[in-house]
Amino acid sequence: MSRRRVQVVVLYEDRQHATFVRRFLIQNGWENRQIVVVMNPHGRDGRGSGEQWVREQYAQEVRKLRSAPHVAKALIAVIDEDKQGVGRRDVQLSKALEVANSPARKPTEAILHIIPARNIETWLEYLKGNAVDEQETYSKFDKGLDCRPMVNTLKDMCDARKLREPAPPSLERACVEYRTRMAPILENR
Amino acid sequence: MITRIYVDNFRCLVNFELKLENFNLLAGLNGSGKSSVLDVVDGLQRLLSGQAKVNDKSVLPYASRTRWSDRDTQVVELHTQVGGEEMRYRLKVQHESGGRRARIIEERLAVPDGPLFRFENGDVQLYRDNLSEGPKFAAEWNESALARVPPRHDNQRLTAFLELMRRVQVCRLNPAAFVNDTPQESQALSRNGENFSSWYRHLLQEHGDSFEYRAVLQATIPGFQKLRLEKVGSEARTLVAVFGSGKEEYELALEELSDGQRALLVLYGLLHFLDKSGRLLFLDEPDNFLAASEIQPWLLCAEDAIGDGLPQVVIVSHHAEVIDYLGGDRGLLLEREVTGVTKTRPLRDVGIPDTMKLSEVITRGWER
Repeated sequence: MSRRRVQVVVLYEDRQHATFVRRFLIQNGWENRQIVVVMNPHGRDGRGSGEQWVREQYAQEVRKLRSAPHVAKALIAVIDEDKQGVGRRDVQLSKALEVANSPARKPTEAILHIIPARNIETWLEYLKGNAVDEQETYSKFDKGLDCRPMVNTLKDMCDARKLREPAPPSLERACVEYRTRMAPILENR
Repeated sequence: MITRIYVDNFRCLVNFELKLENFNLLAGLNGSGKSSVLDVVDGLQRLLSGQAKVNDKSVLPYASRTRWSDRDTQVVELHTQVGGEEMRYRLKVQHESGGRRARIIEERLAVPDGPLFRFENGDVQLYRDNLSEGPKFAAEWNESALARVPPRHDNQRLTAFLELMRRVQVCRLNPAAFVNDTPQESQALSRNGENFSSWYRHLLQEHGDSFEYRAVLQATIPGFQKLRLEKVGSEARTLVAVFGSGKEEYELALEELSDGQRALLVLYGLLHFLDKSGRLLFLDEPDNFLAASEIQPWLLCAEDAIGDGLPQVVIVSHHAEVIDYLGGDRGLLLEREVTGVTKTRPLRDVGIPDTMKLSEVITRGWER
């Protein structure tokens, strides 16, 4: 089949998120042609509020996803927790739906909130085999694509259904999001 | 890769500087100088490959001087990263009045701690890799003396720069110009892609059939099965695309494919065959002939190829798909000032409201 029909929409705060999540999806059986990425033009270091842009687009993308159930399968929003308290970003995303008069996401609806704490670099450090603290800041990669070996490690952990202990709680929550909201789509394909 | 381009007195590029990363978008209005940047890069590639003289139409002809300034000298500088080392190249050209002749009055290559090559007043001074002075000799004024330096055991840094520049590939595809027949292999794809058949023939010899290339085309072009070179003479071949499956198979000559299909053959070929070759790709509006839905998959593939070893991809584009995917962190906006001179700034500095995509800001002309 060569007509492209996007099934997974991924909304990112930063290109490092994009590379990490897209790689993970491909490792788990999705293809580039089934994925569309919606990139935050501000980036994490740009001027303006990147996470606010993501929240604004999130509400729109949820509406788009729900309007095309014959094709669209999932929406993944990726946004760093930063210095916000645990669960704050999750609440903000849910609030964005409320403001937009969209129904809240259902418990198994394929709308995923992937929220690394403190940020994606925390997960990458953990996946390199190091102990991490979600309150700490870890250095960014010079090249975003250098995260690919870490994605392979995560895939192995997912297949074994076990993260190395102690795992960052935000990554554990992301695994639950993936298992309950996304994995069933692949199983039913 | 090329990290900085400086141009003075070339069309609208006056005292113009552009800093590049490994994946960039050049955006801007028509006539803002985007293609001129690619023309400069293409011209240097030809000059430093020894294929062209300095005032050839494709390098720095008299007519390429900035019209309103009426100065007779043109300057181009490149900063490059070669094997982790920064190298700086500078070329200064002087045109005679009326454009009868042009001559190189300065050509230099240096690393931060010293020179590797210097051409001035008709004399070349070579330096060894350890920066000690090497031979001195006279050289022609109208061609690159640097391009004529043969590789030696003690000039490997200089040679690495020349090899980098010879791996630059600038393309502005014109699928309507593609031809079926290939009299012989061609190691290089022409700028408009017209010799794709000959280049593909060379790739087959060099790399063999690529499963990944075929698979991505099968996923992209409805019914596509494979490309086949059919013998039409003792040496000549013609390129055909096989469609369908089993008894239902049929063939179409390259020229019978749509413009978009031909563009896809080249664009995925560039990524799949060149990712290990160290090529630097500069592509002028590669999205021109593609369906909107095919643009982001190619961009994702390009980004993956960069991760797999392709050193650099620079794209000129007006397309919303490209602007939204690359513009935020890799976009450079070229703008003509009231003086006519082109300046650059990060594309995301145009001011992007939370309710809009970057492409919408550009499309509506709402840049700050």
